[in-house]
Amino acid sequence: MSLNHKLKKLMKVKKSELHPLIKHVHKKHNISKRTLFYVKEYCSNKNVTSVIIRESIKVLILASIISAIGGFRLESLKDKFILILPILILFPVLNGMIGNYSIIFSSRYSTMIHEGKIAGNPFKCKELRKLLYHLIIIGVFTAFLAGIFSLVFAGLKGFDTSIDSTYKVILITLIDVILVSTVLFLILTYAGEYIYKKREDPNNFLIPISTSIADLLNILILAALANLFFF
Amino acid sequence: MKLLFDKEFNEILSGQTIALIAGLIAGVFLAFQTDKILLIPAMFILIPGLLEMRGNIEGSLSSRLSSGLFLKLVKPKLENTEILKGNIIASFVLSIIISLVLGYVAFIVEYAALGIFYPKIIVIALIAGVISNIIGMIFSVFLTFYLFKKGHDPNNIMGPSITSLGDVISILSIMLVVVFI
Repeated sequence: MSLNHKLKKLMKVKKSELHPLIKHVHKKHNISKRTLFYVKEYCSNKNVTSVIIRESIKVLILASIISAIGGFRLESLKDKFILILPILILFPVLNGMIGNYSIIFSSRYSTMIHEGKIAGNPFKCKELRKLLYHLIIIGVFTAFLAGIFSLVFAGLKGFDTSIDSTYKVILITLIDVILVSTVLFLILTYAGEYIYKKREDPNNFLIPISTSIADLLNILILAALANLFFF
Repeated sequence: MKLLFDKEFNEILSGQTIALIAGLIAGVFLAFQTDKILLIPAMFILIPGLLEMRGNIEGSLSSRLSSGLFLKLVKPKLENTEILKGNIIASFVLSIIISLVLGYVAFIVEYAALGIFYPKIIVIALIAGVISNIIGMIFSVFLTFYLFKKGHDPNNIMGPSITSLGDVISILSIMLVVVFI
């Protein structure tokens, strides 16, 4: 069966199902699961614009409202927050990084569930543990680098980069990344399991919602830590 | 140890390095323009949503185009086809709707909770959202086509690039709007 034929077959698969063809095409033709997911979700309809708008609008509005909740917490601390320049610089950095971790975790974990690698306690799965180690090691390393760079740039703008504030900024960055990632991975692990038990594809729910939860958690924890350490 | 630091580890690390650099650029712009951007009422409510919108809308656009390219429903060049046009229009319309939602939410929350009446935030959200959407969409479409032509699956590269670049584009768009309004 040619690749095009397989993809056409995939277009006819029900939205809530994860067809074994996805795994097969991904392995044989090296096409990402995300591409195949969109083949299944969107390519079978002719009225492209309205289908995309109808299917995306709810989750996008939900994501906007979740982001605004986090933003409101920042707005209420604005006067204090803008004084700590390194934390201000770190805000988009950490949002982006933690958002990426949540996407990587969601997509890989969904695949493990579909491949039957998660049986009973998810944390007993070797592959999941390895993924968590990867994300935690890289998270701590990049957070440390982000903390250092934010201090350098803030120093250029006149922020007092004494030992005390350097230590506080690095500590806030590390605690934020470790805490947000841990809470996020726990939420996503159990949410993924629950969704799969309801015979739905975890990809459909985990990937769109994970970045919003990551943003919200990051903003709330970053604001709380900045408040705790600096005021 | 050797098992832990494998190809997967390197892939995640390189993606995160890109995110780190782009995030730092966005953060530095924010910090260096504090007086112009962040002192505007409700701006902190608006920014997280605007940053996230780019990744959500353009990331999905790129994924749908990749699917179309593999299915041969889309050719990797700008053509007046239903699927390409439909995707671009949908992304543009979504961008306008979500920017307006973000603007209204920021305005209402700021007024209800902090008592500050600043309707201009809706205009800022809309114009900044549209500008960043146009830039982000051009980048998404052309880079997706380019990567496909070079034999790659665009999704492997576009995901982290779009979210990272989206942060920088969004902050620059806000700065641009704030300067001109």
